[in-house]
Amino acid sequence: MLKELLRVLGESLRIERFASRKGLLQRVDPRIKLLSLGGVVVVAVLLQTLLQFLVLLLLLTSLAVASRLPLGAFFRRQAVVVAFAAVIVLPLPFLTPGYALFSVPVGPWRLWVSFEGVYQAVFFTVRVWVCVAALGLLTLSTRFVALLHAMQRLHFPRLFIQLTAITYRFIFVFTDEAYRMGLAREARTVRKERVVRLRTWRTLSSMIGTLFIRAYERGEKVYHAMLARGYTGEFQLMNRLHCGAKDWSFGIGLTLAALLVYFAPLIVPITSIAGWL
Amino acid sequence: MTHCAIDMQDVQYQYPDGSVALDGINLQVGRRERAAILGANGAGKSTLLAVMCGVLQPSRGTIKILETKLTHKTTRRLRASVGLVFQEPDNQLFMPTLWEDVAFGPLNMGLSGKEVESRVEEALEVVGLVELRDRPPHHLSVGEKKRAAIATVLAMHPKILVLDEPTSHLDPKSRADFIAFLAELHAHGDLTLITATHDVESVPLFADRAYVLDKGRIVGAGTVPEVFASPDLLAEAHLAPPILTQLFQEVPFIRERFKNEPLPLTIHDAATALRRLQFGSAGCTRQRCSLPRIRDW
Repeated sequence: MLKELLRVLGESLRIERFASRKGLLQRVDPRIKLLSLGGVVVVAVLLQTLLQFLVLLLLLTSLAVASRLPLGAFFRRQAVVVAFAAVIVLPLPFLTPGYALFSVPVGPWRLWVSFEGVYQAVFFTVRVWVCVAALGLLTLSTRFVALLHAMQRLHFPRLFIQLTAITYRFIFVFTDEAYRMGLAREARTVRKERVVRLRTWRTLSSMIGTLFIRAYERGEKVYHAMLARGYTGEFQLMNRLHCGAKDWSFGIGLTLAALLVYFAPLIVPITSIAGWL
Repeated sequence: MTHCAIDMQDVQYQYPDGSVALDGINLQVGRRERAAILGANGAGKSTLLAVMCGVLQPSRGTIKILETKLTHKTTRRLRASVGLVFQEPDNQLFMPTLWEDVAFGPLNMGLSGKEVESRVEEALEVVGLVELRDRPPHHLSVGEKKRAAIATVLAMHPKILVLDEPTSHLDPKSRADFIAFLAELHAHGDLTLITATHDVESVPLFADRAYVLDKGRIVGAGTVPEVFASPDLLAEAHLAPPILTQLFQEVPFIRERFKNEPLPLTIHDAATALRRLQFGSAGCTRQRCSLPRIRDW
């Protein structure tokens, strides 16, 4: 499982590669991207029907294509979060009262699955999916530093930017460390590992503990390094951003499109099928 | 000493848990001097450097940097004139790209954008990493990271460069390159170099004076040949002279011959000494005579 996690992180390490491709989104000023894709997230949170979600998802996917992002990587990155969301809402179909669809036997009892529950679970998962797709589009098409610059220019809280920058920098240092610890453990593991064995979990928990202590110690050293170079609590970045008519028109265009999706049910008469979708 | 870069008087440092890491440290390093602080693992080298640079507060004693006393008021100003390079470059490089990292110090100094840019360019030029400016630090090799760490400090135009274990984790080529780079830096700038290390082989190459640190105390000081000529002192501090020096001490007839002069510390010294042994003294006259004969052929 650890290796799987590291693989995903390793992949995110390589995402900066896509940020230097010559595509649509890569040309847009990061501030505009941040704001307009943030707008898409807000709209996605407010949407009421599944059809609208699908339209929005289609819009985001076509943006990914226009930005020459490989769709495989685009969807794979979302899959992790979407799967996580799906797990969270797993109890919903059993707990929400409503029209019973079918039942699952659990020992002497039967658990009933309600239509409303399934609908809500799917709804939530798709909502998360759209939000993650929008943010994925942002991070895949933008270099991380540019994103930090954008946040600074948009007057995000300083502390937030500092934490983001340092987290991003050290997450790789710590995954390397975790990987080495994992290797060291495996090198001394002779018995076949079983998930149910208590010892396996004990080792894992002590590894996590060690990693925390190391992180803490490293944090102290990094802080010293910052102090030695005149850190006073302010964290400054040099800004080299400029944004022109092209950027603005992209931002306004995307925001309008998202709003259009939001207001579409009011403008277009809804057919009976789309009604419950 | 009139022109002191660093002057520490009776400095003590206690860890938060109360254990004493440094005790009664007296240390003076002159301007443009190259000093090495020799100590085994856990002797307190890194702590000494951190205290010296005003990153950690000593619990007793006074520290003067460039003749200015280190106090709460002066700490910030003085930090700009002392560049501390950490042993582990991953601790020093904390920004998302190399460029941002090198710009961190100058930006903290409140310099103008133009000045910052030119300083970053210059520092990257000096360490030869201009092409990697937009790389995230985790994409650099260890040698590159080490040089990058120096660039982050050089961009602040320090008067004193303080290096913690600069040669650790480097392969032989990178190590040689790095030492040559330090020599060049010292030759062309108005820099004081202070290096903490237990890499005794490299010390003669980047230091003139040496201080021996053991369990938080300075147990010996002197020029590098002087310090390496006292094996007992070194052994007590869990150190040893360079391997060549040991070789010269080990072979009886060589040791006899070098009774009145310093033993060689580097390959270059040793080669010169051996050549002198071969041609310079009575045992080698035969060799000397044979040379013209060969030329006669």
